[in-house]
Amino acid sequence: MDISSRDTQEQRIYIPGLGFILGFGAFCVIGAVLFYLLVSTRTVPVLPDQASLQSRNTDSLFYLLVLIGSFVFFLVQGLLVYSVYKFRARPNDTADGPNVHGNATLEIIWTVIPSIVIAVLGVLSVWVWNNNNAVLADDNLVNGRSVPIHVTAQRFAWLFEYQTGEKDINDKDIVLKGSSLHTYVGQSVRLTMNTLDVIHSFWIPAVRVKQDVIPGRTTEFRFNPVEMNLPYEFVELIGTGEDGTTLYLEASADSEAVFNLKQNDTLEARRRATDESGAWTQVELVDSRLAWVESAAIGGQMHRYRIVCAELCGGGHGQMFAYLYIHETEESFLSWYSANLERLRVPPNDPVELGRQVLTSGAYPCANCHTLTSLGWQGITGPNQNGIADRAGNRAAASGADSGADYIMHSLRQPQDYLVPGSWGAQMPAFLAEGELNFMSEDDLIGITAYLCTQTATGNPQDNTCGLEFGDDGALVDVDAALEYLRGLAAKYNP
Amino acid sequence: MATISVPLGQQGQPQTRLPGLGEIARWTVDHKIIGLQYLVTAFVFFIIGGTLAMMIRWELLTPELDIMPDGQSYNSLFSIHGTVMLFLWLIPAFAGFGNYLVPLQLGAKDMAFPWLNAFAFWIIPPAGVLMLLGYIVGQAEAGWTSYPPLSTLYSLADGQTLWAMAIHLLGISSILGAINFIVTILNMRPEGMTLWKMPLFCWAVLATSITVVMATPFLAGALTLLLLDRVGGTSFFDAAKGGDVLLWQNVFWFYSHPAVYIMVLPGMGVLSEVLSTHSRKPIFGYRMIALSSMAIALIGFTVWAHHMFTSLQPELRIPFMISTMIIAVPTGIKIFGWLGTIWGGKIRLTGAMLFALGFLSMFVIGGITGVMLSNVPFDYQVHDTYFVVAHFHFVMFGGSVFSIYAGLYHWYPKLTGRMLDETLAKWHFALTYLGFFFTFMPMHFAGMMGMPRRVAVYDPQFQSFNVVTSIAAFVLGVSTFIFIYNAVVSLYRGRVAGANPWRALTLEWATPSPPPPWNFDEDPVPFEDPYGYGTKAATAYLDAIDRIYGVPEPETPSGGVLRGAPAPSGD
Repeated sequence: MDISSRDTQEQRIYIPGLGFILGFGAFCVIGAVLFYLLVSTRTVPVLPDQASLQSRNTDSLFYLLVLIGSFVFFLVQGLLVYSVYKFRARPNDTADGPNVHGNATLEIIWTVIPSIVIAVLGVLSVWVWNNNNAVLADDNLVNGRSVPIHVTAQRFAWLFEYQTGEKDINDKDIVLKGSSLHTYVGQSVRLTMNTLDVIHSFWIPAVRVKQDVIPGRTTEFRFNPVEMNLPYEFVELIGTGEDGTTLYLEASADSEAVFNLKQNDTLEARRRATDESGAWTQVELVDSRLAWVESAAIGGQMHRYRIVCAELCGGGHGQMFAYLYIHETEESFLSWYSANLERLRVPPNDPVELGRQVLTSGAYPCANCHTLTSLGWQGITGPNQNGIADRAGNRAAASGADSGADYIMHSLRQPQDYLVPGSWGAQMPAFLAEGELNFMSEDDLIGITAYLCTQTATGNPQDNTCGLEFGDDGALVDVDAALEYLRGLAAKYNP
Repeated sequence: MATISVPLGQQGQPQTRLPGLGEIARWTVDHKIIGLQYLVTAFVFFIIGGTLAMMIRWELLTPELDIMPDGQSYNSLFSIHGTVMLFLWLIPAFAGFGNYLVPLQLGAKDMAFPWLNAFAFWIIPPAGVLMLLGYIVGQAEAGWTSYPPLSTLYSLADGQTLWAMAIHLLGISSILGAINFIVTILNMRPEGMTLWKMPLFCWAVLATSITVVMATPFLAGALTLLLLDRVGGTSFFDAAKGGDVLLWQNVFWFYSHPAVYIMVLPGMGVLSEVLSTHSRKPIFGYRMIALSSMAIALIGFTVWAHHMFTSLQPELRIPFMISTMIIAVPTGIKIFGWLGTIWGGKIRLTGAMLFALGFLSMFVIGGITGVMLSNVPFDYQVHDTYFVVAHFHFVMFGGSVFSIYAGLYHWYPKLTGRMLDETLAKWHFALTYLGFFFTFMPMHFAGMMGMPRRVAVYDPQFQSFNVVTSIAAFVLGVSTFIFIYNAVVSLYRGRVAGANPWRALTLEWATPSPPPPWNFDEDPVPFEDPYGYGTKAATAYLDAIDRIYGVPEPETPSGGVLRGAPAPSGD
């Protein structure tokens, strides 16, 4: 058998010289250090701002992972490219490579070294994890007292409740509810979380912590906001005086000229500019409208970050987010906190005004799903609420409700009973008359109903067909009669 | 060794006939036709899943809803994309390679249980149809992971039920196939082929099949509970009635994490074959590579809860971090073993080799991000974000799909008796490699900056990442058609391959292409070492095969195919 034509095998494998090994090693190390420096100095920012102690710890671990990871990257890709370049068969070279089956020393090296590296990484990870979970101070200190903060997740919104421990003039507990989370630099934040429906995941990218919110369990979320040496872009506007504070909106086709921030109403806005005297500040509202406001109305300054849902929860998953406001100081935080407390201490007797306060403060998470232009709601997963007073009145008879107001109340207490045409199922959880989760007090129910009864297509409350009578000034003609009527309706939905 | 001589390259026609379409589309117990059935079916679903992926990327070009009417429709897009790609493309594609190659590599006439083999395949098309029928009754929209209560109390449409039934059927198919592989590999090796002389592809199929048999029953259990909750009125996952939603996550991932290895280990087997053959050099550290497959398969059962770092009891998170990190060691052994294999060889940059090298360079990125993800504090940041989407596409596409392409380029001559066009192969590789990299690399950064996965509406600050990703994804999508064109045209116009165009030592090459229904004319004698390249004995063995079965049709000087030329004077 003549095989001489192919019998030209090289029987020795190519062993690189010391120069190559050192040079290639240097290439990998320099490449890794370069990546490390680019990332750790934030020259190439690959992670959001470091708003918490946890983010600083986690990022140091991440930078180390980048260092090790890019070393492996350059090692493997480098060897790959070099091999292809160096050992590529020349045209017409039909010979085989050397018959080499392995090398025990090398194989031990590339088993042992990775084992050591991951052992070290494991220890460091546990260390960072413990540091991140460490409790540094009493939870949620406000004026030296711990204020429990509870988070309720539902499709598709977050609700934050501060158990203030204060009483209002009717001797009821004041729970400060809102659609944003407020905290301040130095606070040790602890949140307890529940969900009303599916699994959600509470994630603040700037904080680097994520925790699922699981049906049937209460989970916990801790973080410690820190000073970042970044300009505070956002300000807290607080309505002062009997008549409140006026925001002068910059002219645009579809905006009103002024916007009144009633006494103790709070509003977060982005600071855009200050005039020469410093007495006036230009701000950008959440719906992107620009306005000028007296600088005196600014209660504090803060950073704003997104809180998002990271676990698939349904059709509105992408729209499920809220804002975290990190106030510069505890004083700044208190300006927001105290104004809200003051407002809640004296609930208005007029149900329409109460409803407006409840809805604008974000005490119920309506805005994420519903559209109601008068309040700036832009949600799209739920039925549109513009002109709801007309439709409620029209549907009342067909649905067997006493009146439009009854229809609205029924829709809040038992949303699954009515399906809006074109909707594929009631995703809104029922707002219950008792219990901890998704509780809506009778006063709030009446207030919200009364407010929604003013939302007619024409914008004039007098045109409503809900069953409430409004005067020329847009206010209820007889507040007590209206309250009595609404209380009678609400009683039907008590357990 | 027999010494029958066959004329050198019977120009124009392979020695044996390719099975016709009618033979492929009907019940048969021939493992080779079943292998082709698997591969063709899987590729059809790859196109379907790919179309869904293109729609996802189109939708994500802007931060608002564009082509989808609402969020639910978008949710069913990625739910079905993920399910189709995993259960109807990757797993059946590798089952196809296994079916075609395992008996041939063992010198056997068929699988141990030919009828069972056919039955396992014929479960797949109806299961796929069942899943797609969901579009008529309201498609599943809870993601391929289908976490309850979203998939139970909050998915009212029947598509979710069909989804669970389809996966149930696919699980049965998977288990039956795996049992068949284990029995075949352990009992039907030819004389002289010990486990330690078996081709590494068979080792990988063995490791995979053991995993399938151990893990898939857990998927069946989880799906049964899900179906009972949906249609039987039970409340295993209803917390309000005493159920527990984490039960699903634990049982589902107890299957689905090993399933990740089910989807990549056979690809690693393919890679060992391709890298060794096309660099003309033995596998570096054969035993370590074989054992690391087993190690990955077994350790893979202890890591499932790393998918639950944000939902698991906090004190359980660290042990799962440690076990997850350990997986990096056997994976590293494989990668370095492969680098050792090509080092010093005679590398031929064929289409198969290019995709195998592409696997190495992309899979290592998936490995690095995998170790990053195993660190609990960092996982808190990137869990359920686009970082994870990027990570598993680097493993599942950069790993598994690249290895499937490598395998298709490597074994297409054996399957059809014709060679694929190598110029088109290079174009296919270049576009796939670049398209892939620029599709999935930017996702890492979007995820770290704060973009969760599974959203149609996202923070506008992430739009630039998504535009780059989408454009690259479209390139990636188009590149697939180069391969389809090549595969179809080469069936008729490709160079005749001969029995052993790559001069490989494993047994599937020691028979005509395509092999006759009985596989081997006489009992084949395996070469003592499946990767013993570079010895005189190996050269003699390969020369003998060439003499018996003929050599490939030569390329014309222009690189095209010689047509109508007279047969060169052979013997």
